[in-house]
Amino acid sequence: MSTSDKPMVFFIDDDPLSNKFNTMLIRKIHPDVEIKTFTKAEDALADLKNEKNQKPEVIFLDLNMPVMNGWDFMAEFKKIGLDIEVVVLTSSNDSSDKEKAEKNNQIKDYVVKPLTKNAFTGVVKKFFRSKDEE
Amino acid sequence: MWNIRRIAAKITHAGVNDAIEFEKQYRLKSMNLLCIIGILIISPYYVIFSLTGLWYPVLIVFLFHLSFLTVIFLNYLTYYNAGNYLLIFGTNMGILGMSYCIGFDSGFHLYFLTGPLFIFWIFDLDQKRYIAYAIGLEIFFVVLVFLVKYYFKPLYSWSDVASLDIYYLNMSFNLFLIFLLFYNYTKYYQLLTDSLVQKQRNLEEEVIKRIQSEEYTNKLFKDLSISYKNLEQFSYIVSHNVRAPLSNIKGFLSLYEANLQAVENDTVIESVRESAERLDEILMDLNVLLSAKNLLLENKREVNLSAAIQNVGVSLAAEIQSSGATIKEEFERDLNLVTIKTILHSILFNLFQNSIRHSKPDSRPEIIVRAKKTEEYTELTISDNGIGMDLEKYNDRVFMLYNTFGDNKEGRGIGLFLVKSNVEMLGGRIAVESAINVGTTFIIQFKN
Repeated sequence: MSTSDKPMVFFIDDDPLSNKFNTMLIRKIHPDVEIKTFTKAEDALADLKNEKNQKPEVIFLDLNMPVMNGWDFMAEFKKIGLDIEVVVLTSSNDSSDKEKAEKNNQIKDYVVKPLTKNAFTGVVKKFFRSKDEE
Repeated sequence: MWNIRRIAAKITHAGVNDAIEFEKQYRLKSMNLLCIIGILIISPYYVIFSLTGLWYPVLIVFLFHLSFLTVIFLNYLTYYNAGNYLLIFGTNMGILGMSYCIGFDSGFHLYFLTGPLFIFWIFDLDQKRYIAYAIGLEIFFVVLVFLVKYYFKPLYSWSDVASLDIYYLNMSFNLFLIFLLFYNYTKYYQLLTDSLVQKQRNLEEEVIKRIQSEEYTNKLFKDLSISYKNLEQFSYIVSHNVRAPLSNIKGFLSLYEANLQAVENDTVIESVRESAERLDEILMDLNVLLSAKNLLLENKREVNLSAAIQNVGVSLAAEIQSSGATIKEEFERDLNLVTIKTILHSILFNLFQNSIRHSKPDSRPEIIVRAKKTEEYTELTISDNGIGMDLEKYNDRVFMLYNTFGDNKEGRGIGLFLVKSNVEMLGGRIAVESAINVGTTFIIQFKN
């Protein structure tokens, strides 16, 4: 069992640069948060299915990915039946994507990249206390 | 001054209206005309028979006139069939009477001259029974004339009439009259048919025009929907693909502002540089995609498929050599396509490149090009022995922009998108068949 006391977030994004940035940002504002990044949604799914692994509090999900895209992931994720908040983090400001995300009740929020300190804090307020608030 | 032609035309048109078919109009006019000719031809016989004192024939001539006028009047009242039968009945009765008066031989002559003609003046030719009635009437009167001939002696002899000089004079006048009327009528009929032919031609032209305009509208609509699709695609690319590196740049720069640690700033700068490169790449792709549309301005011409493949081979020489790929042509050497050369080149180039890049690591890429020409389509089949794709999962995304399957770093997901858009630009269709670890086959159909 590799569970730690630290809260955990997932970033699922096919763009490694984006993952790199998100990691850097979170490290800076919440150094005590565990971060896992996946460039493939399948890998994230496999991780979630493995019962030994620690479950994240929030999943940041990109929509536009090759092979398994964000929507495919959501369909598979629903089957697992885990109660984890999913936040869409995408570069798309396409209104049709936004509407689709609003209709999906498992998706709690829709954030357009880049992720900012305020946006992250707003999304995960109930799980973590910001460094500044301490 | 009386315009005789006009009056004749007016009478000829008795009962003619647009409600009846053209052919029937024509038959009606001929019926009226026959009556006019009849009236004019027999008019002089009043004088001829009066002078010889043959009063019964005078009465018969009068009955002839009466029935002709009634026929025209009935036609005027639109009782066409009644007029029709009265014409047959009246003339037959007249001929029968005349035969009784002045000899049967002349009656027979008249019969065989005019009898069969009546069939042509039957108004309702499409009603078979009306024809039967008319023929029946004719036969009935022929039999009647036979009976009269065998059981009655004629009142007068034909020589009583024919001996008069005035009879010959009248015959020449009649011939002239018949000539005049038929000359006018054939001219008139020619005019009528000409106008009908013209009308038909106009109609045909109109139909062709409409078809052409419909074709034009369809083409316009197709072009427009392609443009719209392109625009949609463009806006999709901007919102998804252009924004991605831009948001990275924005994000990293926000870290730079807040962070003063030199080491991390280096990472930030490096990442910004990487993102900028990615952005540049995407913009170049966009340029390729958009400029591809301009290729449509080139003219279509005959392109030898084998030569086109050789050309693509030259363009891909480096990749073919390093991968050891082979391209096999399984079609007739002289197979030609009427197409835009540059677009065909682009299609083959991207498909070959795709096959080479997605080849199995342990075997050399083999590409087989097959082609066949049917009456409607030219079909190209490009198969490889590559890693293949799971089409059940990704069928709708094979041809989408920036969708790459597998770990291949070379592919950026623009090639197949371009291929599809190129094929569609040429008015063709593309389909894909694939099995993992077996290979992929692209089937392209162009309309001939």
